[in-house]
Amino acid sequence: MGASGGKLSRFPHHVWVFLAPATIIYTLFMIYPLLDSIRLSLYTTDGTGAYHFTGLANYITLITDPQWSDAFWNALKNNFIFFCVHMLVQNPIGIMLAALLSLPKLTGRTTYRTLIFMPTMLSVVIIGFIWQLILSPLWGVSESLLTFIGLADWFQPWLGQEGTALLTLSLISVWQFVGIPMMLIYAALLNIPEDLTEGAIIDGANHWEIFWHIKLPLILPTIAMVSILTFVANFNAFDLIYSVKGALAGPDFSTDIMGTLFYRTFFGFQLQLGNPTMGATVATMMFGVILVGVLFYLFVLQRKLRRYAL
Amino acid sequence: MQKRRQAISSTAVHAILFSYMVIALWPIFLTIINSFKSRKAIFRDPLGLPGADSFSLKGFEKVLLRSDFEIYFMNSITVTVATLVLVLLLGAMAAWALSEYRFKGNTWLGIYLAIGIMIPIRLGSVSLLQLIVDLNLANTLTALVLVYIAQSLPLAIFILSEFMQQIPKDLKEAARCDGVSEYTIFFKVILPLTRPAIATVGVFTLVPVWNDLWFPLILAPSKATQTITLGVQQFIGQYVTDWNAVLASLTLAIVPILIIYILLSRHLIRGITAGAVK
Amino acid sequence: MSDIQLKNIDKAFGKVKVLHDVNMNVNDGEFVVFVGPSGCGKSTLLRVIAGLEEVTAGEIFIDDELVNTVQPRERGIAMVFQSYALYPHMTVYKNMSFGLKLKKHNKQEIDDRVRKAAETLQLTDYLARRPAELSGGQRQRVAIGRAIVRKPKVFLFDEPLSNLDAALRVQTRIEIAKLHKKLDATIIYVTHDQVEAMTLADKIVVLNDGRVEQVGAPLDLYNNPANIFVAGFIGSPRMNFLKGTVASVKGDTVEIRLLDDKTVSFAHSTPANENDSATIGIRPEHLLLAGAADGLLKAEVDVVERLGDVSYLYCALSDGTPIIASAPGTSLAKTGDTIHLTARTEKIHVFGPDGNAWK
Repeated sequence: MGASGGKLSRFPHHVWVFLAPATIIYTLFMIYPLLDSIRLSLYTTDGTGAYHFTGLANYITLITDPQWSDAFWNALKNNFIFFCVHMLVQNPIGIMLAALLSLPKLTGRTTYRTLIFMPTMLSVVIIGFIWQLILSPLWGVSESLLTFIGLADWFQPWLGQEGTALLTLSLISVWQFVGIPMMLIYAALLNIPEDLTEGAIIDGANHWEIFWHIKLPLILPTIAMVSILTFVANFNAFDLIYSVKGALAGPDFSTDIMGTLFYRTFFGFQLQLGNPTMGATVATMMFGVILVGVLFYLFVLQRKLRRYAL
Repeated sequence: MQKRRQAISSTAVHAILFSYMVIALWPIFLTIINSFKSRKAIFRDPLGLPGADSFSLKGFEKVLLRSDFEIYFMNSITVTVATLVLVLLLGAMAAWALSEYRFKGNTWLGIYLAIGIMIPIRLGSVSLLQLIVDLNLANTLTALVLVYIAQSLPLAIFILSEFMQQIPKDLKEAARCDGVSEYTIFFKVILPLTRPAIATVGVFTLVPVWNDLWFPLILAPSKATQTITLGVQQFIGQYVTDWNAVLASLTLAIVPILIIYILLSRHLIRGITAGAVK
Repeated sequence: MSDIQLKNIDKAFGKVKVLHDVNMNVNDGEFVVFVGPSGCGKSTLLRVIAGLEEVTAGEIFIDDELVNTVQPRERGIAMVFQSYALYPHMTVYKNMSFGLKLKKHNKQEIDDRVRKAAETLQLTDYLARRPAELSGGQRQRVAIGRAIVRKPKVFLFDEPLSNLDAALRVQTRIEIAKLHKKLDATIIYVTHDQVEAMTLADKIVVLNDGRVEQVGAPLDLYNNPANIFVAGFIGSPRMNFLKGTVASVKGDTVEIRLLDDKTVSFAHSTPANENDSATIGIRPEHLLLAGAADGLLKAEVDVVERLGDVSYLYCALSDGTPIIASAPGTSLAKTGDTIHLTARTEKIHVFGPDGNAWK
């Protein structure tokens, strides 16, 4: 039966031909740069551009040298806040919208779904600018809207204040990406057979009880998947902060996250020169954080949360 | 009474979904309507629709005059289409080999190729930039395409091989019994059958590539190779106080995507939900 | 008392009408089976009674109370689904107690009821398992257990045996019959399998195209089918149908001419005219092998199915009409033989041009 036969040792030429292009491009432009970045993080450059091996010195500098560590811990903390806002706001809203969309006999389902998902399709850069305009005190759109609902006093230049800028940016990102948890969870909910909900109706459950006791436990694996996707995306985020606040992530670094710190370290800013090896060190730290999250998902969440055959 | 209770709860459901829909859409709507207004009208009545006295195309004129929007568009389209075609072809080939042929290291290669689903390629930027410079590809669209292929392949291979495993064995075996070569089986039998999964892979490839800011910014920031996302970002950075131009450039960047999205939303959403179930 | 009355039930999905003016009564303690080909509306009718579908027109009474707008949970019904619809993330115990918990029964009572039902269904050893760890037959019993614990007025079964293999199906069928006696429960049971219907039912409702074709006791339907549809649906192998015309009408005796100018005569009260077309129905088990002289039908044997105690002869008449006859297991008939068949007049059914039986 040709190549699909049982012999594992055979590696016929057509298998090579099928696999080689993808594997080579992937290895060269994805795996090699990742590994090489980790290698570079163990080196330092001098004025002449030559590289010297320094072991873990870059990491020690990053974590302990106040010149670096303040920025690093600040970015890490901000990034966690950024992630927490997504987990606490984006995912619950996504689950709620998905639950409503999957209610039986809902008219206009497709329209709601399509339109609510729309912002997710647009570039983060565009979304960032749009909200920057909307929240700008110069334009006053937000102010007049708040006045309209009687909350005129609430208006503040949220994006410009140290205390509110990060939260505001997080919420803008939530606003844009709520469509992703919504769609993934909606798909998982659709996958639950109707018989099961009807069985629960006969058992005397109302919509809320069906959701809480039947549907939610069955979609927990999907919620875990959404969480890890959120985690990876958040710790890799850059575009939004960069386009709204620039590489300096102001005011006073209050919106600095790992992505912007990486960019600044790598390319430099104002008086500080770019530093590829320190950049690689920051990137490797990001890699570490993401890896911990992914491993936690693969070895803890995925094992604990059973996927039930439906 | 029963009926009334049902009607009330159904109204509540619609009220929630509708309000959220408004929240999701009005910033986009606001941007588009204001891009067609004069500067005065933008500030005097931001929430109003453009009328006879407030209508103005000045913003668009400025954008088209002062920037190379057409070039940005062409760049974005070139990069996205080239990436899409190559990802689909190379991804399908690899997915086929992984799901069909049993060879030593099959499982490990599968895991190796899946790492990229979770680990963002961006983290290798320092070395990647070095590599692109060494290859003399800095400030070329080729650099972007290569990086985007590497970025998109893992998920594409994953989705496609899940799909290919469901192709009935009989089909391929019938072809093999006829003595058809493995290449012919792939290109004439398997590839056409994979069409439904291609929509899914297309969405997951197209959207992040079109919208990306990072790699255009670090690999191809030259005027001639800017993509639309980077182009808008740079343009707005330059003309940040010119509200007409800013709103118009945003609208120019939004509208094509919105049109494509509305035309294809059924397929796109089906792709996302179908991909998610696995 | 738990009787059900359906009055003039119509049900449409959009423009497609699936139930037409359905009327029937289900008495307390009765085992009623809805039977019919797939798509005949039997499951929809069951779901209407359960409250999972709203009727388009008509009234449903349970214990003389109009329940059209009453929620399923307040109708006092329990339902066993074809797919069993067990909650995959709950143990057998939790599956069975879920409905009771929602009703806020106290713990002790829930436990008593679940254990008692588990004992009845031989599930005691499996209470801590999840559905995925059970066999098909066990899942089926859990689904029944989930219904029993709620002590409903009416049990609704939607094709509960169709996911089981043949041997288990027969066994479970007997279990369900026993359960009915034991619980003294009112049961409505949907199936497309007429054998299940015949063996289980006190009363069968035959549905076709959303209409009730006939309601009656199993043997009643077998002996006196109201029309060609029921005659053909009930009984296995299927009843043979032969085309004929009315040759003469004398008083209440009608003579019908069949193929080859053979005739049969009946006494009946339905008015008929000469030259009307009519269809004769004879069940395979009522056809007898006869000599050439007094045979009503002459046929050539195509295939012989020997089941041991009985052999089915698949034959064709001279005009090609297929006909099945049952012969004793000792019959020597073989393919290619020409045989003569006859039948006792009182076992022959006659149907008019509208498909209804002549009485």
